[in-house]
Amino acid sequence: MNTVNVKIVLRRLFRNREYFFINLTGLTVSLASILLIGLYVADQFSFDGNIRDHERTYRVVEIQNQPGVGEQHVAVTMGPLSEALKNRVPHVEESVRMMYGWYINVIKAGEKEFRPSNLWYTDENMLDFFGYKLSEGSSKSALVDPRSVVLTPKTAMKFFGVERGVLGRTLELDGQTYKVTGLLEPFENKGHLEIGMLLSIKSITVLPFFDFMKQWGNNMLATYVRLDNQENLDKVESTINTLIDEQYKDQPKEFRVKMYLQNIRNIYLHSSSIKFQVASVYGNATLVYLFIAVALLVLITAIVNFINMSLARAVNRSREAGMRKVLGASRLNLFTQFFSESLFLSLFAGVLAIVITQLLLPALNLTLNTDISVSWLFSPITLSLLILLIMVVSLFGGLYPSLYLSRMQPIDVLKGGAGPKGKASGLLSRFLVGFQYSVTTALLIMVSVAWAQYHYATTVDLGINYSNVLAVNLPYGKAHKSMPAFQEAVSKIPGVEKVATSSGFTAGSGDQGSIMVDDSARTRITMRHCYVDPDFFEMMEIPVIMGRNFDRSILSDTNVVILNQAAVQALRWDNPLQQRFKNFQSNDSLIKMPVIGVVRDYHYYSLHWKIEPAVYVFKPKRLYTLMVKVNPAVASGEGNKRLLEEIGKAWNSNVGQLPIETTWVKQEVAKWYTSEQSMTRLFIFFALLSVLLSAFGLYGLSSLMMQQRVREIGVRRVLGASTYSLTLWLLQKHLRLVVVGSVIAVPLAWYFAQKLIEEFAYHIDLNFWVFLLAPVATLIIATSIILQRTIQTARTMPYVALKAE
Amino acid sequence: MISVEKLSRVFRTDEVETTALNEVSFKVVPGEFVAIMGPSGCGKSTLLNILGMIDTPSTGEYFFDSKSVGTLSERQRARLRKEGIGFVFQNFNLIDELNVFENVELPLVYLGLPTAERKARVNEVLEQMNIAHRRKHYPLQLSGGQQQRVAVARAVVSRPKVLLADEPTGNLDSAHGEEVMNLLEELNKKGTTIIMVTHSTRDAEYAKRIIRLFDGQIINENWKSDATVSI
Repeated sequence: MNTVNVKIVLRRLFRNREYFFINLTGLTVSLASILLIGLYVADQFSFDGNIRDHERTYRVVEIQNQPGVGEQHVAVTMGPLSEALKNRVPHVEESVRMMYGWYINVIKAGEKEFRPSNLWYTDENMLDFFGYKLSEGSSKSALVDPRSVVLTPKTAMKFFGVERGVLGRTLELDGQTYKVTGLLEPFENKGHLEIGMLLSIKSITVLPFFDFMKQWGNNMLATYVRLDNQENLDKVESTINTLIDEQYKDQPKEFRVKMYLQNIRNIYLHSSSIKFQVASVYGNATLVYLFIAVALLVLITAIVNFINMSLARAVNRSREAGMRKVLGASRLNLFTQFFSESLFLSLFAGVLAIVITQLLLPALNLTLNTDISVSWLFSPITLSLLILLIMVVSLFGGLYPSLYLSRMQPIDVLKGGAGPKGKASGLLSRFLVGFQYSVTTALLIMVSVAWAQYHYATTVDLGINYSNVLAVNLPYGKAHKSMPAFQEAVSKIPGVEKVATSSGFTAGSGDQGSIMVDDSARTRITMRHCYVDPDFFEMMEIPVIMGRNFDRSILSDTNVVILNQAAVQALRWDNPLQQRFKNFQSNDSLIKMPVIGVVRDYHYYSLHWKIEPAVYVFKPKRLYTLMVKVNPAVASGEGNKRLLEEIGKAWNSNVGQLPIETTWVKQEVAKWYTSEQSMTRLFIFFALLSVLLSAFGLYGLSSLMMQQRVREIGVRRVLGASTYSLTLWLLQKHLRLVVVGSVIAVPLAWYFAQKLIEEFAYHIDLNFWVFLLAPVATLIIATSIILQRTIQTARTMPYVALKAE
Repeated sequence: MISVEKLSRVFRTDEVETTALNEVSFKVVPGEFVAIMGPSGCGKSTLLNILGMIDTPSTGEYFFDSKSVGTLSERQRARLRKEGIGFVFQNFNLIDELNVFENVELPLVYLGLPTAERKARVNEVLEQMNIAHRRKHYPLQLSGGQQQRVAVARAVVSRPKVLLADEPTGNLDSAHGEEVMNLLEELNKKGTTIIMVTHSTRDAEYAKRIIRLFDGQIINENWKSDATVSI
């Protein structure tokens, strides 16, 4: 029995090459897509999976709702919170603080100088808390002593040129000597925290400058807690809030905060609306879900193609089925026979899909900036899921046709009455085709919307001109000493048109805080603090729309402020130029800071965020970014090389030995959207793939349906139908399905498209035309697929047609 | 061997009721060669389908080998059919994906015979039908006559007691038709009971008895002069 099965399967496939090819290609492509997307999704869900007891480990998130910025969730908390949670909140087992070392300027290893990156001050229990293992040193004691540092193999390599054996060696951080007390094992799994080096927090808490860490007023570090049991989450959260309310009882109501705990496994994907997450990587859950949806659609499309074609062909095979029954085949015999064909095809496609996935994985990693290893592909889990998938595909693709055929009564077949007119199978087939049109329309809409948003994000007027601007960051502590001379030297380089200084390339600094208006109502507003010199607005083409710009010749201009429009709106001021703030830059309460101007709003953060109210101050000490506007002629190529060399020389003679870091601001801005852009592109790719698969399937299906209609067409032609009228008649049947499919697709697509663009605080509006044009496009696709076949069939000579049966 | 009593078959649609067979009774003894004749729509094929157990009568009794077919389950009927009846069709109904050998082998596969025995039996019957040299060919590579010979080989390979033939020469030219008829005659001489539906008086000549049907009823039964059968 089995040998006959295999033989007949192979011969049948060979004889029906066209359908075999269509089915195989469709299945292979869709299985490969699902594998790729599946690997990517698994990668996204794997973040922080290696954290010890991750199911009961949380990050504290604070909800603020202060005038100005409005409601925001922040991942930074106060210095004393960790101790308070551990000591005063029942069910909190452990807690740990992570403070980013933003104020470290220079790291010296021997004679070499480095810029710090991913440097964290943390409590001594941190390694144990997260379950990080050391390959050198003891995780219990490595972070106990002040001035201890734990490195990763990568940073050890950077500083010392070796990946191990660094215990006891020393690093100098801004002149203070730290001893290497531990070396982390290479991370097996990624986490949301990017860790380069860990420093004992005791190194700084003893210093007077860090007294603010003992106060409740400042949010500057991340706090993580572990509960004894995740079921106590609600209880713990409410206790924390009681404790915080008590701490903040003297504060005005709008400056009180709420807190909640975010499970550490949720941080990576579900934090896109949380601010102040330094040195963290995060993904986007919406896009991941979109990917899953697309993968499912691709799968469903392939299965639908498969069912449709097998059904259509089942009709041609009913004679075989009937004959086999007459010859003594049981239902089971027949079912096995037909089902094994479907299984064979799926298995073959599965093997091809693995090969393709393996080949495409490096490209995926490159596009999405992931690090998925091929070993994942061959892991038992992936392979068993693939086998499951293959079973599902062959079940769906083969089950109905197999049942249909094995149910065939010999008498029906031999009487010649069997086949396509079976009401149920015709209905199913029509439903499936309609479904495909529906999916195609929906995906076309999604693709248009995604593309439009992508286009919008990259081309929208941000209110600031980043073109041909180079940014050079000076070390934080060295800036105000070295900047003037460096700035002077750079401004003289040929090709440099203008220079300006600011706190970061958009002027927005890492500080956000509340300041007091000098009024009787004691108005307080939370704003972003930005530091610029008098040249910044002009150079970046940000218009001052009210009042005036800073002026170097006016000495008191270091004690005045400029606001953006959002700030003026938040304060509901009609005439901001008559207002003053209390001094928030020094402790001298006699100095007031008048508003001298208002600049037009511009996007100083990505389009994901609303433009926060901002206050601009001309404070030379905080100006550590040199912005260099260059002539377009030197923005690329040979001129650019020479320019960078010249800037490098100016750096060496004015700033020092530390490596220079220059970036084109435009590229920096583009990085805000890199993950979205690559994912949008991939989304579009897979969505179009699914559309293509549908088209492919419809082509196969329509040729089969035409084949079966040949006789009917012959009869109609004998009765005098023209090619034109026949074509129209054949088309009509499909077009009705397109229309019904579209009617269903449009509202669904509307809903999902809305979700997609809502990821951006600034986004396009959904355009009515998209929802009209997508069905039209589907119509065109469908028509062009069907038309060629239809005309061919309609032209068939009647005698050929009538002979066919 | 075969005995039908007051066999009727009524086809019903929503509006029309057609009586294809109307209280037909006759007997066929082992070794007989019976031709059933009659104009289109007289019920020949319906009768043959009922005899072949791929259709069931509306009323009446059908005894195959003294067993009342009407009381058997679907499964039992299929078994009886598989073991006792061979079919030959006007349009051959060979399976295109299988070669000659495999087509003929199929009934034996479904009977569950071991490979070696299947091979021996298929080769024997192919020799007998003079088609052995084509055993590796596919149906579409054969002439109509050859295809029908393969179909006959397939019908008799399981050594059925009865061979049912529905217009076996209907799709063949006269030379090939004669070839097939000679084959059937030879099989009959060797003891196979044959019931054949035909339009062709020439083909009917091969039979020892001719049953004529008209509007679902037997209007006439002729025994040929040399018939040695007794009922």
